Amino acid sequence: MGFEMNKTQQYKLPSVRKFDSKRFLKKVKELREVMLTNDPKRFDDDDNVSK
Amino acid sequence: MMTMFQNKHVLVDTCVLSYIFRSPDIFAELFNEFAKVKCNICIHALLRLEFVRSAIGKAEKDKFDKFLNEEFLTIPVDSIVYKMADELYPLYNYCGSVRNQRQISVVDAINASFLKKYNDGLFLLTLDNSDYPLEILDRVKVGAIDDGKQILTWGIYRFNPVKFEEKMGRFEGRGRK
Repeated sequence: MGFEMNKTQQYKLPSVRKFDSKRFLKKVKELREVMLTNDPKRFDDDDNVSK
Repeated sequence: MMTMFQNKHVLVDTCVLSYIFRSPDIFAELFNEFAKVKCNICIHALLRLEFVRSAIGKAEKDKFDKFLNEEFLTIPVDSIVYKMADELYPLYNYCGSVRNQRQISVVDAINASFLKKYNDGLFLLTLDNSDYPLEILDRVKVGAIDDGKQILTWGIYRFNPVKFEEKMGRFEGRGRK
């Protein structure tokens, strides 16, 4: 199995990007409209919540 | 409480990506809480694929891609993560079998491998809490979403190397069962 614990702590992720909640919300709602236009029942099924 | 996420990254599970479109305001607010402590929201290539596969037609797929590109940092799935996932599968299933749960999915294994690779620098936000065994992970924060139709619980997880080593020892027969 051989995991090397010390090495896992050396990996770094890229620096932080700026998040704008208003911009995010606008894009989500626009895309949501597109999704509903293509399939009006898209969010009717609760099972679709999960992958 | 959000200070634990200061200058860290949070990986967003596919179920969360999907649910964002059901309750946009709730997730915009939650992501904003992360942003306040300079915590970056990210995905990886397989999460992206799992989400984008629900697109109806090329135009919608292109919009999905554009949205993900603009709003999420995509972390590459490299050979280290693949190797970790390959090694993590049997242990993860061992944890699952103890709890009589179904087999781990590919994406869940990759998610857990990312948590292991980046250790305390990366957390996972999910709605599928049963997919992430507390035998090797810590659940550091939970919250509820009430969208008027149902109440869902989100959880945030991180890798716990001490638990992992202990579970690995049992799994390999090095310690007590």
